[in-house]
Amino acid sequence: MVYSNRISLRRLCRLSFLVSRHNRHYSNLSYNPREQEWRSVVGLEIHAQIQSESKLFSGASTKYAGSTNTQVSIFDAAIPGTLPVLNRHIVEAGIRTAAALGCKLSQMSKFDRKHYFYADLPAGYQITQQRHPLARNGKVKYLVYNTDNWNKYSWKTASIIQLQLEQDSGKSLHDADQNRSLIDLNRAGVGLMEIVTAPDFTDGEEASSFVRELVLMLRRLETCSGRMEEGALRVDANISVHRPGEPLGVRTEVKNLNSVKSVGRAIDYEIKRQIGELESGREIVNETRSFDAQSGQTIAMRDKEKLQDYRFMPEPNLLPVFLYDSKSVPMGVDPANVIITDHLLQGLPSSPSKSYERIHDDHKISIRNCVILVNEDGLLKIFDEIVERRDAKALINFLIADFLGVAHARDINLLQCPVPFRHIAEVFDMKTNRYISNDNVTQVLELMFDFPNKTPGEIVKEKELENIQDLEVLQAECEKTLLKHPNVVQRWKVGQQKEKKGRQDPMLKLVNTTMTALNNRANPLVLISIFEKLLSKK
Amino acid sequence: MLSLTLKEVIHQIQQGKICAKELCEKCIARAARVKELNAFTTETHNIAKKQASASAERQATHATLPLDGVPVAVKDNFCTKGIRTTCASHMLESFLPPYNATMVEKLLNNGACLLGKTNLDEFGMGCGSIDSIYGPVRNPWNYHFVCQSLEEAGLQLGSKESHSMTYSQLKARGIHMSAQSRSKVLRQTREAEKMTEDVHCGSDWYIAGGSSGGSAVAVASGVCFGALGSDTGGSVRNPASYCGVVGFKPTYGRLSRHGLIPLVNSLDVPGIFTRTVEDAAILFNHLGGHDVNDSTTVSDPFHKQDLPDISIKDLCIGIPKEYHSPGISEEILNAWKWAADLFEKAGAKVIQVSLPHTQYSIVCYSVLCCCEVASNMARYDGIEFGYRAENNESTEELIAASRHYGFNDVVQGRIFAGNYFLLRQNYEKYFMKAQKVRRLISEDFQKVYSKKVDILLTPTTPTEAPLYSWFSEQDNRTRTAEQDVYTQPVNMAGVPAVSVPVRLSQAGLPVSLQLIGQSFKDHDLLTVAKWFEQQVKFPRLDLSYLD
Repeated sequence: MVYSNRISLRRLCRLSFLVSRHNRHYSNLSYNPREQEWRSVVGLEIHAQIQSESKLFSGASTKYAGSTNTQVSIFDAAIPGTLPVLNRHIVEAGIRTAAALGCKLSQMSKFDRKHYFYADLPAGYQITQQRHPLARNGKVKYLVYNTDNWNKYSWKTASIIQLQLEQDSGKSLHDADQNRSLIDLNRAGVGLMEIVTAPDFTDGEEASSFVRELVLMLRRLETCSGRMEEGALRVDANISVHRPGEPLGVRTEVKNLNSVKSVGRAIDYEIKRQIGELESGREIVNETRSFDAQSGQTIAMRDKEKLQDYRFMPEPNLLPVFLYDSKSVPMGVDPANVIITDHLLQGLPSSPSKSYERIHDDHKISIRNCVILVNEDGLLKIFDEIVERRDAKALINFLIADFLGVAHARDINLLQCPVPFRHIAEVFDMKTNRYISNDNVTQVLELMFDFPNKTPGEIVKEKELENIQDLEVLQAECEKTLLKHPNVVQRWKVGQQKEKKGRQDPMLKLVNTTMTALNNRANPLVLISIFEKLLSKK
Repeated sequence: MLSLTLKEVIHQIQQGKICAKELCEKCIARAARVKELNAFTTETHNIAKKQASASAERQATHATLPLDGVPVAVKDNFCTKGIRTTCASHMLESFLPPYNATMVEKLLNNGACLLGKTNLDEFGMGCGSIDSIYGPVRNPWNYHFVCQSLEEAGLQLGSKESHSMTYSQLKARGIHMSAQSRSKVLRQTREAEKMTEDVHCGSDWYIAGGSSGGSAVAVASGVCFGALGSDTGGSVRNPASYCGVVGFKPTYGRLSRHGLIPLVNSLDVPGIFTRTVEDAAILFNHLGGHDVNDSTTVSDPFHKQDLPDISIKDLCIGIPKEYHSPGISEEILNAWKWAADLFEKAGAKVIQVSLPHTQYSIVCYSVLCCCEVASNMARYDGIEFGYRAENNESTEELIAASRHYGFNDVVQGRIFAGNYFLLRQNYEKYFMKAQKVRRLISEDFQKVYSKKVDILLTPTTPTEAPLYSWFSEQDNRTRTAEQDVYTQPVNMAGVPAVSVPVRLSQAGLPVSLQLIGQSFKDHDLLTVAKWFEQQVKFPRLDLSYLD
């Protein structure tokens, strides 16, 4: 464990240090007068893997990163004669998600086959819900923000056209050297929900903000891990540009965006590219493109499926999915054959945007801190539990700056927080009451996690970490410092209060030295006043 | 012993009067005698012997299973674990399924012995069992067996097993042989063949019907006591009718399709071949019920039932007038009238009814069937299983080459048509319309049954079994359209139906009629069929002279 012995001036002045390292105050999109003449329209198709032990239609495991082709049932490999058996848990997860996204649940939904030949699609078709999806017509309010400029944020609403259940495909690996393709079917048949939005976004920032909101919602629902880096959630973006007053332009589809950042960058790039093409007198081709995160460019995919007709057909081996609430379920219907939604729709978590609004309104906390609080799994719950009778702003700063750092370093999942929340509150109170110095907060938090059965008060006593209150002791230590550093005293006298290149503020130097000598067991402000008193005497 | 019914055989095995091993040996011997009928794609005699030994052990300890020691055969489109399952297609010529179809599993779990996988039209597409990579199946009725001919000619070939291996037969079956082995066989059989051709009435024979022709022949020729088929548009009832055995297609949703390689998922039903109606009921009792692996099987409890002896006094039999179609033979028409009279004389009410949408069934079927075929066949790309071509230019080339070789013309034609019907601009015009017509056909049956009609009596096929030479003059599609007229609407409606042989035609071929029941009243249908069967006293084929 490494502790900083020195205090930054910023902390001395009790400024929040929660300012991002790159504190740019300009928009991500550089201003271009020509672009003002264009309108861009973006719609998203999001594929989210539904958290479930087994696949959508088979009992094979869905664990991530299993050995190649070890999680494949005979159905997943499309062995002739096998039939799909619907995983009820996945349907229920889809229902909860759809409800949380404000969708209208379909009383009856059905499965279709979507045909295309691909080596990692063993059956030659994907089972999906094209014509009768699980749910339609949702609305999601979301916060648009830019991590580079927290002052610029806004609320938007996006419409969900439909949410449908479908199978994931396998994975192909093309080995160009040996001219062969390797297929891994572990992912084949994993349950996905495809969430299709209306073309309600105008740029990458809006679209990526929406995706962030959605990921958060899915994580709260525990219906999808949201781990985009593992491919648990992939985004396809449909993008077009047109001039105001004219019909929508020809769209392109950028496929398989696998991070929130890529969603934003790919869309903004594609909008600029399309405008550039049109202004140069060229046409936009309806095509599929991929995004190269390294170059930041979208690239046309070798696309054989441009004129693909998927020849949709009803899946004849699955019954329609019927949803009822306990009141509307018809007499004589076997509950095993339908889904009763009552219990599924109870206790749905509130949406992230509702949380933002609540914290923002209740506690007048900056949007940035609201975002951090809400985005960190479990943190909001801790905050809500202990905020009463405490300074909300200071508490959030503490949770984000002090507590989260320690928790992250220890890889702690706050949804299963190993210490009682009151212990966290106690550390905060000790810090606020200057019972311990800021520099010892981290250490106390570490010890709190080390000894979950002891209260932080007990720990501080045991380890002697509380601030020394005896002014005589403090003054004696300050005098020692002055004696040891006459040159610093000299600098203070000539008024070199501002930092010079490579040199510390003399007062800061004195306080830091003394704090180190006292094992940080002092309130630096008290030390400053002692020094000021002592120095003025000289 | 081989002329017994399944019920009798079960009884005797359970009583210890017949030893399972001995019975199995007898069936294997019979199979060898009738091998030229080409009923099997794969014989599993060694497996059957092992199963029979296990049955015999259980017999010795009096801990027998319900079907212990009963020799059965299974159409080669039901998956059998570790046993080649080909669908009579090059595509699956070397396919070894890793699992048993639920129907197979139930037969084996009840102690039955599997004698082999039976021949069919490729992927079940056909009604003659002639479009198989293993060559056509032959109807045992009016058939001149080689051994019989040879004996008539006073010539004895070496071992019994080699009787059926003459070159002309192999050629007729379309079995591929290398030039070397061909010349060897030629040499060995030159003399025999000369004799054969003199004695044999040309190279013609009666077709077995299809697509489950192999299973029908296996039961009719005494090789086994029951067999599984699959019925999509009549594929069990049609060959049962031509081969003079009982062919039962239960209600859709009663028997599991898990492991049945599909033709048309929404029409396919596992079917049962036996010599008597009661035998069919026995197998049905052991096969029925919900299967978690098939979501389309009904979940309400399935009860085994014995068929009671009934009086048919209160019964109302419907005669659909639309089934008096052109193309129906005098023989069939007479038998039909005779049977109607039989019911009436016994006190049943016999009335004419109308199934007005019957005539649209064939065209409706050809759309629905092709669409599902196009979809179901999409998995045969040579990647995970099945035939894989050498072409490695690209994945697309590999898939195209595998499918080009793997499927016959009939399969390829249906795939093309199905994909055409499913195109975005055609979907409404063909698929949706066909589904609506299917509903109308289905409602025809419901309407008739709602008017107090219990059972419908119809022909199974328009004629008795045709000759191969005549049948093969026309293509598969034309023949299917002719042959399936009376059976196909039943699949559209999902209702149960059974073909019962009633008498022999003047030519000595079986004439059969179909009884169509109401959904999930399978036992009621079989009960009436049993009564009917007892009245008609059909003379079953006895080939014991071959042994």
